[in-house]
Amino acid sequence: MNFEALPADEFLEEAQELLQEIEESLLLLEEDPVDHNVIQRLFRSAHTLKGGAAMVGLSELANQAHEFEAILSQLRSGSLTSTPEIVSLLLKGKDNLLSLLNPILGNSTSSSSLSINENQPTDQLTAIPSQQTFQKSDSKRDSLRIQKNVYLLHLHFDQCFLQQGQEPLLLFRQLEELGEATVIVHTSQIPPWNEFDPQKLYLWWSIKLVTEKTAEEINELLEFYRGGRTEFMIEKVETPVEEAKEVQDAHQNMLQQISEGESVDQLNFAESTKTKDEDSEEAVDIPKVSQTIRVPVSRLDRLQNLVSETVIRQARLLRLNEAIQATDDQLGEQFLQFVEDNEQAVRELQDQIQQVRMVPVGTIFSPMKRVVREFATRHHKQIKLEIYGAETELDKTITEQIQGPLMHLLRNAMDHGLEAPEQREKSEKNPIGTITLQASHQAGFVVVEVKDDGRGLDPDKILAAGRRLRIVAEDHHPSEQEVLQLIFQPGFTTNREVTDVSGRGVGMDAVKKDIEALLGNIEISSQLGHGTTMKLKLPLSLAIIEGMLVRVGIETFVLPLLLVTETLRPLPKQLKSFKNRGELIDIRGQYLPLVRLHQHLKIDNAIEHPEEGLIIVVQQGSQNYCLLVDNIEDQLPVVIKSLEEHFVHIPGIAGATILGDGSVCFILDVAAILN
Amino acid sequence: MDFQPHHMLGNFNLLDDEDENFDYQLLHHNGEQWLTFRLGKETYGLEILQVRELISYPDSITRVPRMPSFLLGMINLRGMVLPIMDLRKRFEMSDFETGPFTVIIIVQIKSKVIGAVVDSVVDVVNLQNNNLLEAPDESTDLDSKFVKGLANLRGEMVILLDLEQLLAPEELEQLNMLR
Repeated sequence: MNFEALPADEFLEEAQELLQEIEESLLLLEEDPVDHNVIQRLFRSAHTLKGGAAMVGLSELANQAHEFEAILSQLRSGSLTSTPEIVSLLLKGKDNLLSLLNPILGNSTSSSSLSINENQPTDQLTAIPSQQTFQKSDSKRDSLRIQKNVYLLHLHFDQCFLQQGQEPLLLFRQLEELGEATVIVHTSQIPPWNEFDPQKLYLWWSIKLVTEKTAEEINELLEFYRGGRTEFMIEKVETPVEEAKEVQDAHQNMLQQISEGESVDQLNFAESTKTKDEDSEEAVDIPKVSQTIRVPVSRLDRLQNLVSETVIRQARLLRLNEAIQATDDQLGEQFLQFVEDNEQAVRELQDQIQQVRMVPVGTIFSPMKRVVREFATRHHKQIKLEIYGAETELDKTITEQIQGPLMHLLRNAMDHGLEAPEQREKSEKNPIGTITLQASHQAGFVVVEVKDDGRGLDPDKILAAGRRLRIVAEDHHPSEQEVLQLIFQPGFTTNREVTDVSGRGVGMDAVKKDIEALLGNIEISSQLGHGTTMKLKLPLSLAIIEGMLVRVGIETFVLPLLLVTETLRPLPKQLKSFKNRGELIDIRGQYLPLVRLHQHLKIDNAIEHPEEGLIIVVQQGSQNYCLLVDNIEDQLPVVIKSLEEHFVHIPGIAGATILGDGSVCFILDVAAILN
Repeated sequence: MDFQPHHMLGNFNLLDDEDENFDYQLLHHNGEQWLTFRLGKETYGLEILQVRELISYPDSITRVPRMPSFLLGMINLRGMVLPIMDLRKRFEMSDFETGPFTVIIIVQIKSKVIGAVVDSVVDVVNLQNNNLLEAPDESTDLDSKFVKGLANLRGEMVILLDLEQLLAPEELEQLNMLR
């Protein structure tokens, strides 16, 4: 372990998260300016940031974080109320903090295109009147006659408490200022020496505090130290203060009991001390804190690759077993048993590694709140952003790679989808436009939707633009879906004459490419006057996808299952042929274009009559196509291997995989074939 | 230092940094080391530092759709999917028939790894700089841009290949267009 590099790196990562949290909290604060919890959370984040920055020697960041914190403290004490202006100021302050961080992170610019105010937000921050210092309680034991409360505090800190640059002693000193404190230290969680990590905090404390302060005030103090696995419990001991002696004794008893680890169950202290009664040996006492570990994604990628290899080899083992069983029945039986046991472990391994890579899609939704807010202010629109399914989990890489496209779709929805408030009122709509971001799991895939209740796409205007740009021939009369698909055409640019649909097409081809590169699909639905929905369908993982193994001639290929809507063997009467539109297949009244894979892939001796082979209906955008194949061989999870690493891009091939027999099999790039 | 051809079959690494038995002395020899191999009637040479390993002809090579015929297809080499190029077809020689000596030379140019099918591997030789000759334009059947030079080895001519040229992206890109 690299002790020197670690804290700084960890801080940088943590700082980014903290700033993100701060931003989210600020936006929440705007919705509910008096939410005490939010202010408290903000405070805590700013404080942690300040402490961390100071610890790794980023004094400028620490100073600015301090200014930031000072304003929050005024909000907290109520001497300042949070108005939208204050929130804006704080948001700018947050951007400023981020801009201090970015050069260190190596980001030249911040990822979003939000403009950061150049003129020193700190000056604005300090300009806010009435800097108020924290109330310092200097009431010691001088006023004995005042009603005193007796509290029992149990302080369990996160094991990384010290690594985060915190120090329990500071807390004890502060508690001491509140009144009379008796501290008992618990050593039961110290692990045996061979597991002992000198950087970790294994001690926990019980403190008896006699004070006139309320539990809330104590809580406020503790608030600074919360976070991670840190857990504090405050228990009020109900005893009249007059019977001082008795109280003293009672507490002494109580503390003693606790230090002996007896009454802890009743105090609800989970497993840690329970094990202690059962096992007399202290050494086996399991530390209650299970920790999180930060791991570079590259390491996870490597791990995932290795697991993928193992999955492939497992499939080979099964094949091998057939051969063994043919020669030696008994040995084969034993071998099979082994292979099956192994199979379970491998499956589990694969699931687990996949789980580790999953992040909630909400991590990319949250920055969008800010984008919407900024956009609405700048363009005088009223926009409500509704988010559903933020907890839906998706592979980290996919999540990162859809951020750009999603942002693009969101901007389009805000800019071109939603009308100006006056216009909305005229068409008897709520002046506040709604944009919905929704994520959900659907049968092994994730669906992300960007939906607006704006003006919708006007097919006539798009078609007119398409004709003018000569993308659509004069004598061709496409269906409404086909018209909508035009916006994905590269070069489908906006034109002054079609301002109503302008921009919708700009960059949409890039969005489509990005999604297809992930083996996903993008679908449009729109209702004129009522809004547009963009639906992204994505695989759960980039490393392993569900595939359908199809045979064309003597060759086999993998089709991403995500794109397959149905499979069938057509009857001769379903086959139609039109002069201008080529071969079509009538599927329940819908005429879908027939695509002969053998022709596209130049494969000889494949089945040429659709009624003798199989038709696989695949979705491409919002349009369905019929792919002709000889047969379906299997349906299986396949490990994706990139080809471009060692080779140039092959048109029509998205990647390769290795089958159970060790042979290479190509994954078809359906989008490229259909284009 | 003479390799017997039948010893070349099976998988073994020619250059493996982790191989303790590897003779580092070889690397510091004067001049460069070349792997020589047969293709038709002629002997060719490849810079040994570009050679990763030699493997025997695999059971299955998956054909790549819509690719020129000299690209035999892809193989799975311990989990890595690699393209295999038939050098005979590439140089427009007569078709080859795989025999017991047919070997795939796995070469690495920068980060790209590719396999080349050759008739047989002959030897690893040291070529002093004074053995090397500029390739006269009409001396071989090959396109001269793929030839780095010629060497005279005990009276026999060795054509030294320029792999980098052979695998240049524009070269491969161009072939895509042909199709």
